[in-house]
Amino acid sequence: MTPSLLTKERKLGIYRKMLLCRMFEDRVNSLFLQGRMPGTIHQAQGQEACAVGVCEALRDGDMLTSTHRPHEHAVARGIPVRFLMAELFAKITGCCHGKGGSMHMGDADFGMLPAIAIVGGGIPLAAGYALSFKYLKKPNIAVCFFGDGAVNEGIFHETVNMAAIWDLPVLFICENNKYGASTLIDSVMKVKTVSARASAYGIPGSTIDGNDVVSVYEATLEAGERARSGQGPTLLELETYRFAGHSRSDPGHYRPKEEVAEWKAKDPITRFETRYLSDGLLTNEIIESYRASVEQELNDAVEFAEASPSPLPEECLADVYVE
Amino acid sequence: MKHVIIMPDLGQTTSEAKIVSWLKKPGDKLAMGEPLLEVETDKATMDVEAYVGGFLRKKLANEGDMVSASNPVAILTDTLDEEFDEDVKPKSKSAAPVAVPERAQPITSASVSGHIAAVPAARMLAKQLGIELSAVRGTGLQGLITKADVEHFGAQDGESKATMRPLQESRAQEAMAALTSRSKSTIPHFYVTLDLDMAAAESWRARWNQAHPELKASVNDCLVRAGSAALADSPRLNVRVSGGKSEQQSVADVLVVLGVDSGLLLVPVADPHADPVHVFLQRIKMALSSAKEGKIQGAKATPLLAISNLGMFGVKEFSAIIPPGCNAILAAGAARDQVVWQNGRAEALRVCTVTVSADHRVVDGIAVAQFLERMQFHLNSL
Repeated sequence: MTPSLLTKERKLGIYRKMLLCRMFEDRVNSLFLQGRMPGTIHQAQGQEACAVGVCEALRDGDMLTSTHRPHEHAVARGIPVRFLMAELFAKITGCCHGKGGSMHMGDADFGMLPAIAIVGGGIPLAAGYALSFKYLKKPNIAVCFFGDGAVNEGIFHETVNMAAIWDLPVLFICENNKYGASTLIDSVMKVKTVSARASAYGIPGSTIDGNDVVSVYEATLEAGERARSGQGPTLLELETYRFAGHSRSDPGHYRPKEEVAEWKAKDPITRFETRYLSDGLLTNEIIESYRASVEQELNDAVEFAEASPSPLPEECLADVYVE
Repeated sequence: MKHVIIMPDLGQTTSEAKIVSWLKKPGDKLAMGEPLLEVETDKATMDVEAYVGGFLRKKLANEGDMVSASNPVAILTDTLDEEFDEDVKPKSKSAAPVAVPERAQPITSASVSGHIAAVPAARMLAKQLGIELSAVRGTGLQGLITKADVEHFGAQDGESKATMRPLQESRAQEAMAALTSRSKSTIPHFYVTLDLDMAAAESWRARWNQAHPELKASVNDCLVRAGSAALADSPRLNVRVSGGKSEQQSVADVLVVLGVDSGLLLVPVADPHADPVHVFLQRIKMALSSAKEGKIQGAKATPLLAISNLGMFGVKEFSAIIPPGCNAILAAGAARDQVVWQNGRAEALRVCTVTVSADHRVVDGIAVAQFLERMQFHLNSL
């Protein structure tokens, strides 16, 4: 794969989507601080290139599973921000009809299962989807995001092994942001990279700069092609960093200030801007107009969410059980 | 335009937080996202950022105040000199386009077939305070009793209960209350007291401090280092016992008890005897000073020995409560001069009386006495 496969329009689309992810998260934080939104939140500022790079390489009919930090995945997968915002406000117009909230963002109709907050919980479901695609001879793939904290869960090993022996069309995508809550990955993993574990299952694995959206896109596309052509799963490790604490209850004091500053200097959005302002794809006018239109889209989403009705008590069991 | 800053819901088990300090004063300008005040939750100390840029015009709460989530703490305005009213009632939520019927009455906690629904933190607090959960009205989901409900009940009921502590108390103190009562009620403590001869250690310290005025060693530093070395020499004490299994530790980490204004802090120091002296002194100073700023480092340390020192207050001797997870705690009094009769004549000695409280499920008095013997040896060979 070469970067030239990305047309100018496609690159601009990717850029706008990263902006939408970031500004969505910033808006959610602001609403939280104003007390306008119930519940706590796990934010992903800094990880936009992972969400957007991966989702851009997916097709209609592919299925994504996510984690307790799913906002940017859902935005990148293309679920309208109105439905996501309404879900955070616990309104019936939300993507889970207001019953899921922050940690269960997603909508299967848009190719993303409602996220599972249990660490590693989305991994086996992606393999299950992949098995059904293979069985039904569909040209689709399943993709699961998980954090570095999930790779020491038994379910990770069991699923990757099973997907490997059955050559399932599934991509295992580890967003390695160095910390599982407050635990430094180096303190709980002897090998230096998560991708090194791929060889144990006999599948390809690689470590990608997760703050470079083009690298993430290309790696996902390539792994996706392999999966679609029956050559089985791939383990991709995206090295990235969350700018905020684990959740709104966590100030992140366990991270050295210098480390946070170092990663903020590698901000995926600023990097994209620097790279493409110099080669003429982006101009300051484009950046400003995108920011303004994203701002407008978010204003509309908040207005929509606040005006939407809350679920009724008697509906609390609707959508919970299958007849 | 006026903007009301509220206390966000930052806690894990409660929805209130204490204001530690204001980072801005009235008239100061803030950018959007800039920290405005520092608060202490049940979990951590953290900043509250302004969700909008502007000028701080009025603080609505003081340092030390406990503020519930969603309550206003400050007023910001867009410009420095604009008039503003001080009405801070939250704006009513946008009217929903469809009418929402009255919610069903919450099920009261006691009504669910004898089982009382309460979060674990509420159960623990109720137990500590001697409160019957069935008497507490739950305000959580379906009448679930939260920690705040128990605190509220306790506060109402507080006048007559000697055990009740005021709500304003710091989280550190609250945590200490829980830890010490757990420790004293589950660990069979016993105590061994000895006068350590500090002459050699004090003369080493005087020489060191003269040579390294920038990195002085305290009596406590000497005790921590010698205590760690003695622990490493004491296989019977340096053993982690849990779930019926005992595991010999290869390191000898020490937990230093540090007194601060808000209470006591437990600061782990990894293997204090293992590094050269100057490295150890730098590390312990760094660990203690960052603990004072609310940051506990050394997450990898697994101390089995704690050291607490009241010598700086002239205390002669005392005994301490073992922090959960440790096998013993050494309580040190002040180093003092003492005349003793030995070798047929009066001699002046420099002594420090220490009392080791130890867990009798793990060690016996002989093991503790042997540990103290090794500690004396290491103090003599600093």
